[in-house]
Amino acid sequence: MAHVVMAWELGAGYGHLAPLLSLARPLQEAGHDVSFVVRDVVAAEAVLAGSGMPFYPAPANFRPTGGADLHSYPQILLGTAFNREDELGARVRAWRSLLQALQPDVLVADHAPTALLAARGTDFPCVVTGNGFVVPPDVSPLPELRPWAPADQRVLEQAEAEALERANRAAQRAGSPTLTRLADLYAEAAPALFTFRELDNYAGLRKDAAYWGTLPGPGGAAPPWPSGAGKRVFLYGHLFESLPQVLKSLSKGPHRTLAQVPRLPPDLRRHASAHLAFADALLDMAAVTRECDAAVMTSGHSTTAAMLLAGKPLVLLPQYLEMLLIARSVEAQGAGLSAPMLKPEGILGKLERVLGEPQFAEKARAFAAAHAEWDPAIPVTNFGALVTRLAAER
Amino acid sequence: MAKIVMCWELGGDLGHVARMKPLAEALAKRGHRVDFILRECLPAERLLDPERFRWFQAPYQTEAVPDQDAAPRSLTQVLHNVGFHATRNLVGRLRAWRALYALLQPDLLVFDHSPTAMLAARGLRIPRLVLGTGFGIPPARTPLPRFDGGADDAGLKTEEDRVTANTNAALGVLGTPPLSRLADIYDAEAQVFFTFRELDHYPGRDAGDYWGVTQQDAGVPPLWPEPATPAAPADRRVFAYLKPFETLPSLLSTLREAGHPTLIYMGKGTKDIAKQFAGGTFAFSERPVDLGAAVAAADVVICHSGHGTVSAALLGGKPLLLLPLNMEQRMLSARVMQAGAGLAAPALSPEGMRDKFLRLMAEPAFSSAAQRFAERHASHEVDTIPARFAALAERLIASEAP
Repeated sequence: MAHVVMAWELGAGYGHLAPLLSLARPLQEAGHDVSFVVRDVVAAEAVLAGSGMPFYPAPANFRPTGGADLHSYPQILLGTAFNREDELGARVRAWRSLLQALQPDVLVADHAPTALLAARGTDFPCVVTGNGFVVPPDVSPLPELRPWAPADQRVLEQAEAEALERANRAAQRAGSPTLTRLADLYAEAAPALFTFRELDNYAGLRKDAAYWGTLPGPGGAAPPWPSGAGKRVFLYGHLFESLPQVLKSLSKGPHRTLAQVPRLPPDLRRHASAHLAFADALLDMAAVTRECDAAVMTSGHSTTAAMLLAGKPLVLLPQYLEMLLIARSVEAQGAGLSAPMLKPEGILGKLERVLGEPQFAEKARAFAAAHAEWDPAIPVTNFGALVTRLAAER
Repeated sequence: MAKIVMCWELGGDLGHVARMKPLAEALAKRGHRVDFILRECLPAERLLDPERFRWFQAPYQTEAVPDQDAAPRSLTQVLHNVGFHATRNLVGRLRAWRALYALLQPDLLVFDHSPTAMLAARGLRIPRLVLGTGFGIPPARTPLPRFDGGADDAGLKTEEDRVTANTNAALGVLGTPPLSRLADIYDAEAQVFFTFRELDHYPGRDAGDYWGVTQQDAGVPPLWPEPATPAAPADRRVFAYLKPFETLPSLLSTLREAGHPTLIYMGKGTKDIAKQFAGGTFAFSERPVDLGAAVAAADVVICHSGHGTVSAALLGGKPLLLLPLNMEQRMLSARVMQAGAGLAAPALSPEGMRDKFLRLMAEPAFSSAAQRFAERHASHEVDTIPARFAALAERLIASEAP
């Protein structure tokens, strides 16, 4: 039986761990050993407790400096994992030590560039997983991520050259083979893309990409919608500045809103009313998406996909580049609206539009229809087959 | 051959790895395998030989705790600030430490400023050795004492009860018996104080095995300035080891007026001010200076009351002007003053720093007290500590599991 190591280095929240657990469970049931290397051990305990799968801290840059105006994947790396040559070198060695001690048969890297760098020159195969954003395409230079407001191309080229140089210096220090292009870091691993083409910001740059669809969430409680009449609105995501005003307005009706906001400041619960309920526990997202009429979300990738697969229109509140790209793809499909300014009147006005104007729900249902054949078991089954094959080929 | 794991969870900079390095080298020389679990990997990359040692990322509270105590007045509040504020955070970290222990299978665990790592080791039947300055190992009492040495009060006890409850709830999740008091986190088969009794941040400790200081990585040789004029008081030299702070220019002006040959190292981000004051009786070193050599040639040492510089100054018999920037440094500066070997100017006011500097230069009592410290510890040999440490480690490994 194989030892599969799941590595997560960059990003925050449960968005990486919950999908990885849904991939790990079937492997474990098939008799494989699964270990996790995680950026956030507190989140790991929340997600993995009771699974019997150990987790180890990822050597990561916990003081990222990424600016607000990032335009390319190399720029993201320069502010996070590849922040400094000496720190990167120190972390590559720490990953090496851990991988040497864990002796994986397969390394699964989810937004884990340093893990991939440390794995170069070792004898186990790697899989790169995640949504499209965290698996850059096999091209050089890597593309501008804000083509509607592009940066100076030379700046991007310089960033990519710098990221490549830092990676190669760190690799050399640790005795790993160097990269010819930054994209090699990913191109040499087997891809497992857990998204749909419509939500992949790199779709146009991938050759023969296999889109396996999104992974099921962890499951949870039935959604406790406020009772009575009114359309059902699911409000989900991170805190944002105007959330209190949005909650206050929604608490007055006429819709029935179920809000799930991790780390909600306790005083905001005062807005709970006959029209507004708060959910704390993990929810059964299949029930949420089935029962709601629209969602207002900070545009997490898998929740967005779940809403579209259920044919529900969206108002998206992107706060970061990754979310902005998802929101733009949803707008491009006509299945929702984006409110990137996060102003309460904009959010609430757009919510009325997606609820009231039928074309949004129609486009969302068109997405659902296009993927009617898709089975949520596909990504897990395909991943299991890939990992089992790679382990057997060793 | 035994497997030894050295852990560092709290704090910053190179100091913790620097302290453990000669100890690890002595253990490796005797054929043992030493792994490090570190809060930050960079100090390892800077200081450790990757051919001999492996290092791993330590779990620690990476996000700011929501209701931080901005000015913690006891270790209890520090613990709150570093992730003992909530049971779930503790459980996540404890599980990660335990996973690392299970993976590395140590025969001995060595801890430097690592309370969660120590908590995770409870009940594992692996011998534990905790080392640190006095600050890193609190007195075994409840409630944990105030940093300023003040009397216990009700708030101290309330705070400790809350943090202890969080901790015990986390231990309960792991099936580990509860603590009877917070100080029990530091239970170990051996405690080694890398300080001197007089410099223990917590004075009046009942028992303590004081080993002095381990070897520091040597800096560059001190390059002293020439006296500006033959009339300058060239017979007295000042060595200053500083970081930038608001009234630093006032201090430098005072030192310039005094006219003694002055060697200054100020760390990073100080190029501009160094340029402004360069020349004359000042020499600025761009790199850390060999402390022993600088102290030997100096008459007064000025620093922020970091343990390494204070120890080096007093072992060299030189009085100190202390400009503490944090509580740990204030605690140590109080001990130096108690020994009569220096003066502290914790307010960092221009007049205070000036007056105290002039007193240090004028009154020989400070120098005498510093010399008495040096004489008391004349037999202190940094070179023998690593071998002594390795012998202790081997005894712990050979002894019955706890």
